[in-house]
Amino acid sequence: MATSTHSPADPSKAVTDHCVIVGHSIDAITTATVMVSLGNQVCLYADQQALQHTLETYTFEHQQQALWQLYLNQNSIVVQDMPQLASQLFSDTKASFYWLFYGDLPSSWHALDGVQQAWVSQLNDSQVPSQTPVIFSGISTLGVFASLAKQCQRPWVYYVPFVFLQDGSAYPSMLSPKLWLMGEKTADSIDKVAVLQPLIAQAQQRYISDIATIEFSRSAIMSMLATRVSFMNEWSRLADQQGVDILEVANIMGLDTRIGSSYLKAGWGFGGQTLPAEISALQQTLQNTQVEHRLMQAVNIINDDQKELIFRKFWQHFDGAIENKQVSIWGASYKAGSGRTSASAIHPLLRLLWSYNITTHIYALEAQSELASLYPDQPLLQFIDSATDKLADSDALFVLSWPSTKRLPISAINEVVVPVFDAQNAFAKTQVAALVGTYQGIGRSK
Amino acid sequence: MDKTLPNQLPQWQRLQQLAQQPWSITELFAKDTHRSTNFSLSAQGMFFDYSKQCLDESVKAELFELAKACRLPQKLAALYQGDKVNTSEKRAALHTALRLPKSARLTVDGVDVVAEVHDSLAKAEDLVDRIRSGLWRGYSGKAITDVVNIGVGGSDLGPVMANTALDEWADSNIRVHFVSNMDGTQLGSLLDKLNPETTLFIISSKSFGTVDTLSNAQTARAWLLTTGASPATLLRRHFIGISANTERVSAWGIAKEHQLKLWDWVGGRFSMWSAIGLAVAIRIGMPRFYEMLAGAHAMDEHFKHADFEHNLPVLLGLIGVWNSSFLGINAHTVLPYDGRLKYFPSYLTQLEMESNGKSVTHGGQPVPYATCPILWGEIGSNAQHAFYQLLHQGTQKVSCDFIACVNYYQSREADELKKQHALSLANCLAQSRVLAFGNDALAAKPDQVATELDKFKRYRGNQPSTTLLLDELTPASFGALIALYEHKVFVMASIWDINPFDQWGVEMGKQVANEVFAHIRLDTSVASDAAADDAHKQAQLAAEAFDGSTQALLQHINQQLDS
Repeated sequence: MATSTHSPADPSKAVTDHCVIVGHSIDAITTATVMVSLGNQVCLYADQQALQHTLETYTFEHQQQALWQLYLNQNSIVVQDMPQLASQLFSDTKASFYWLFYGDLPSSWHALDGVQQAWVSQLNDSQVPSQTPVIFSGISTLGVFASLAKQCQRPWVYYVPFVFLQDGSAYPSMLSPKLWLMGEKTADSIDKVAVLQPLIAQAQQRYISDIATIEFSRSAIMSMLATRVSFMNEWSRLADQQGVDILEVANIMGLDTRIGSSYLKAGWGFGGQTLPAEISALQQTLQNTQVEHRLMQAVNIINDDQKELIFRKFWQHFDGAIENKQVSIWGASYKAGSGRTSASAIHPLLRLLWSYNITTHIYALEAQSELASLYPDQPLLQFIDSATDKLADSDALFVLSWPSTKRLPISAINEVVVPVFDAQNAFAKTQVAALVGTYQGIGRSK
Repeated sequence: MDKTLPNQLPQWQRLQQLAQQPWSITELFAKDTHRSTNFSLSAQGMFFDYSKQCLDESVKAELFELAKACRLPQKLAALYQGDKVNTSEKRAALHTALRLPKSARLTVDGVDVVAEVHDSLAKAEDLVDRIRSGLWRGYSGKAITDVVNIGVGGSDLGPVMANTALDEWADSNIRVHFVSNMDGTQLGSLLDKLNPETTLFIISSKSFGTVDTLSNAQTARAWLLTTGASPATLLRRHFIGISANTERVSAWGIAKEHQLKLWDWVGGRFSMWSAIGLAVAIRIGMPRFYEMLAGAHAMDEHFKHADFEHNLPVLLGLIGVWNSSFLGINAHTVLPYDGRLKYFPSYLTQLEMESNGKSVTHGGQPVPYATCPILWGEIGSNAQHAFYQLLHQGTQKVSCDFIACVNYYQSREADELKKQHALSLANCLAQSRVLAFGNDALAAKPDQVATELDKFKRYRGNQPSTTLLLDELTPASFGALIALYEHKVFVMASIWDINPFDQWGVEMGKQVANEVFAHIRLDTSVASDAAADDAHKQAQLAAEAFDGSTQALLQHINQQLDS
């Protein structure tokens, strides 16, 4: 997906009623698209290479990609090179607001200028009207955004965590967020960011508070989700031992309104960008503040170990005699439908399989390009265009991420009677029963 | 072989005469104001001060002549080039080859020794990398978290010492344990804490017949079998074997690809540089293991090329001979003032006493002179509270090696640790001073009044010592230190005309132990090992051939076991 860039315009001569977005992540790109959809002109400042990489990685965000291209062609989104200095950015004094994606800012901007980050000093020293709102988004150690807001010498500063963004439906999930959280430096000031009102209004749930509380809540929400995942994964091992189907147990647990049904799916653990980054930021916070963090440490330990659990089941099935085998692997991304393999179980699995000289036939259309770029010279890595292509040659089948909307080819599996190692618990109970050969899931087996 | 005993050489006899004169370290310093300069040497990152030894230039010169007369340079060359210097076993002693760089060339009996050594190192490196990176898996598929090195003597003391000395270079979460003694106490308490899924055993035995090691290995195997996993998988995934006898290793059940080779030209107590050091490499990584080898190689080169006057191992060895064979000092203590070298004295007890605890020459003649002194040691500051009383005021003459590292904690912020280190250095220097000069070490106080206790507080001094200061302890300097002592042992053996590479004196005890073992009534399903079974049949008839003491002891033991 191309980026259509303009040669660096003089920001001070920019048209009014445009907003400035700074960042190259999917969060920033989605924001740009949504802002245009809400009638704004967007000037996006980004590291061009990083921006291009994001667009190439998120090709599965079809709606997002289509709108991006349309808006570029219409010049509704104008992409500019990330300026070396923040002062160059803030010479655009006519922006209706600035939206900065913290993790995408150049490292040189973060350098300390005294006790403040350089770009904050430059914003404070700039001619940007004090009434121009500034919005931050991103993940960092607790207190960072509250501190940044305090350093900004202006009243209308906000923090919006992207807890609503869903991989595979980034655009609609922002346009109609399930949960909109917003931190404000000045209490009761959301009317100062009129551009966000439609999003707040569309949200199924919304909460506005001070920035420190919203930061903390963001971290608590994501950590709770991670904890639920690790909880179910730990219980899945007990389920294995007791001969109980953990999927069924999860359904039962979900009936209890005190628990609810989300994030109760045992599998190979959590991956992607957000949860691991969130847990890492929290652990950093806990270390910095020297607060004990046994629970979150355990969450991480379980998650890391869970990613190789399916390999161990494969190992035990063959009693360790796995050298030189061939396996098929369905899916590689951290989530079905996503092209991202960030923190996916595919990586430790491949590393282990290849160390025993096992040839891996991978069916993962969305994630294929990312895998190919990560492992360019690996002779044991073979991509297949159809899930059943190499089943007959395979000694085992791994399922890592299979879209729920796609039918599992049970008959093809039964034809070759290949043992199935289902890291995702993608097979329903009836499908497991229909298998002729052995099946091992996470917390369930046949 | 030359039948002239060393003590028949004129150089030896001149030294005997020199030894008759009364030696006073105080007087030696008084006579020569440059003594500390003339009797010290800086080389290989070490400062070697031997000015507190009971010798002068004439002794030194005569010792050099003795060394030449005993053909030390020729013997050194023979050692390095792979001649069968281990004359009783008709083997080479090529521990120096274990640390030759890949570019070196050494062919012995048509075999490219360097290539073999580096092939073995490469195989070890592959195993080390797989273990450290979590790719080596146990029977259940879990990564290894604990490695247990089962070995005794040279297969234990060296790796234990290195593991402690180089602990600060350890960069793996894998825990390494060492088990050696045959009574099972070490292994028993360890197995209570370990997880069989994630424990890997390294069985290190040159002969793969040492009963200590095999009994521990058998216990380890039995422990793993209680998991119910298939025996074949357990043997394949939980054992590495290191031995010169690969047939026995295979017969025991260790997979070929998990065997590392030793050679019969490596003595057990000289084998730390080989695959025997695998457990150390797992902790510190192969790059640092290679640094250790490089440090030892640098000392090998120094030993080979430096003239006697500037040759650390030659000086250390000749001083050892002078003290033991000429001055009648039959005890030697090694005192590292550095906790990292905690196991260095234990290591030297084997290296020196198993090598040079001999009383027969290469030609088979009994030696009419004292050879290896009794050696022991401890961390110096601890020993100050243990046996320094004997050193200062006992009746035994004891020579001492003080060892310390000058630089430590330099990169740390902790001022208190730096202060402690300086305190340790001060004590190291102070003790050698007091040992050398006795009461003269302290300036007399002008108003000092004699008391009844004075006779109990008299320090006679005149205990000789060497002080070795390493610039700092690193894998390389550690390698150099160990190689220094290996070569010291060789120098001494060369003068004494004894074979430092065999150890026939340890054999009979093993044989008799098998006979006695047959008479201890065990109520266990554990089968006796094959050697004991054979001994049992013969010993049944010969029980009354035991001496009365052994019979009484056996009776006492069996009464207790029966009740």
